[in-house]
Amino acid sequence: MRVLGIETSCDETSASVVEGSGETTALRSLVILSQDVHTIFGGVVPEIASRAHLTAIVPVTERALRDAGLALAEIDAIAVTNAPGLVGALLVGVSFAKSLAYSAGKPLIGVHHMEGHLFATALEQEDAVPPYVALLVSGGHTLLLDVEAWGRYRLLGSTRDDAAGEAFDKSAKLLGLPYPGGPHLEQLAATGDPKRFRFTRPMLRRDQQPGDADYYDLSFSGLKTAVLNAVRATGDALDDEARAAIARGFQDSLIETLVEKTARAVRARGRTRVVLGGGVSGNRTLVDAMRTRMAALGATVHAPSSRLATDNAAMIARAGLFRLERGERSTAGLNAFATQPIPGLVAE
Amino acid sequence: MITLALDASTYRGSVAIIRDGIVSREAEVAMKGVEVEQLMPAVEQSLLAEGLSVGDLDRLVCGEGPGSFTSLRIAGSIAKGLAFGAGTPLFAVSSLALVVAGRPGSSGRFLVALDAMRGESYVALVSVAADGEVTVRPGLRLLAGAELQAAAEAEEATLVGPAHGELWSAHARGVARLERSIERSGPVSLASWEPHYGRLSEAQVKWESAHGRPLAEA
Repeated sequence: MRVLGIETSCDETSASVVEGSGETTALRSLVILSQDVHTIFGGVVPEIASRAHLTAIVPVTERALRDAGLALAEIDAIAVTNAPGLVGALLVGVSFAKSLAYSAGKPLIGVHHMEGHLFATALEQEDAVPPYVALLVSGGHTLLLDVEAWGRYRLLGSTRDDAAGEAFDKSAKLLGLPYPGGPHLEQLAATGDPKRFRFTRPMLRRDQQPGDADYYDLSFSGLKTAVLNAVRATGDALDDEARAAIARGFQDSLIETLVEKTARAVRARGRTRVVLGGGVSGNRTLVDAMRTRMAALGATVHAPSSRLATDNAAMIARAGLFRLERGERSTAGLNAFATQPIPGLVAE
Repeated sequence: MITLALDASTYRGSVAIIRDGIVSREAEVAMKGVEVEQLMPAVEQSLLAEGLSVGDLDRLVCGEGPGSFTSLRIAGSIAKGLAFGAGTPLFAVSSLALVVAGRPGSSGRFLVALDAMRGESYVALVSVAADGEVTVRPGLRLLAGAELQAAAEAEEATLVGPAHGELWSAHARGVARLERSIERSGPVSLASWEPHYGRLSEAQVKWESAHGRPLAEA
């Protein structure tokens, strides 16, 4: 089965063709058009993002088909992100995909963006398959999940306030770094003194027990405030060295928290694989720290390449393929939603 | 000549199928506050009821605004998907012209006003010839609410629009009376066409005001 994926949930217009069945799938093409305009505003402007999607959607889709060497008639189905995300942005992809599927006489499937992230790494690494513990870390989401099987997910923990990527971007801004600040902050932190600023590891205490409400949950707004306080306290002495040290203190705290919460999940669920997803999984320091810690637990870590870590249509096509093979279809009334639980969540 | 027309410049979306200048099917849907998106189902149901597939259409026509940003984009995205999927040419038409053209009536001049919020209205001058053909004067204006009546009098036109009752709302059926001007303007490029939103995003307005230059030059 050949699935055309379409993704417009935030500020990337993306289309992709994925081919295969079951666990055997191949990426035929992937086009991602990133909207650079948002760097000027220091964050994504929903109305500007939505307008840009509408002008980009046809050229991006056309290119994905051309790169795959396929005509639209040779596609078997269309998958599109319909939640969660910026509603105005999502609606462009959803409306386009619906009418495209209808006019081409192909089935349509709406895909949950975060379920897409669960499938992304499997497109590149054949052993990044369930059962595994997933840590999805992006600018909009931070989720710790136990993936028992495709379509069967146990939500272990999530952030109670800022997403990990959001904390990166906000802290980077406080340090005077350009948007999006995550990669800049990681680069700056690499040269920082790890002992000069030691920030509390949020929601991470040794006495926490499985079953405690905060055993897996995360929180990063306090960490961001700690960065703000450090910047203020340093005052005029905020030179490059101090900024690097603050960046280091922030990143060490955030990474240790993510790694330890993931380690708890691996132990509790008895998993031997950890799969990362979302833009923050492009942070090499996080991936290295995760690998070191998981090796001690006998687990391997699978991180996607950068183009599959960020928002992309390949993961939507792949997740769509899974849903289509289960016989699921969306109707012409498919709508877009800012928030929606991942399908297939099982209760504790 | 079979045309599928759609407009969603307000919170009421509309679909029409026009055969050789005659409206053979029309539908209206709500664009806001609905769990299930309704415009695409209305397109499908209209075509089905007429015994048509997208491949039978000779052209698509989409209301280009101005109006509700999100609704305009839903209609625009649907129109692009149909056009790209079936290889059918897409044309755009002023949604303000559809206000007059969508309402059967006598000839004359009309100043169409659509609420642009912040006390202002989008305004266009639309004329209906004795033979029923509707034309719109190029150029979109933004006027304060208090200026509307005087502007209409200056143009010797009747002031109309959604504020004057539901019958003065844009409707896709109006495309039937705009076919000649649509034909003259030619099809749009699927790669670059976007609605006439009427306004920039708030963030862009603030940025341009703070920096004293267009965002495009940044």
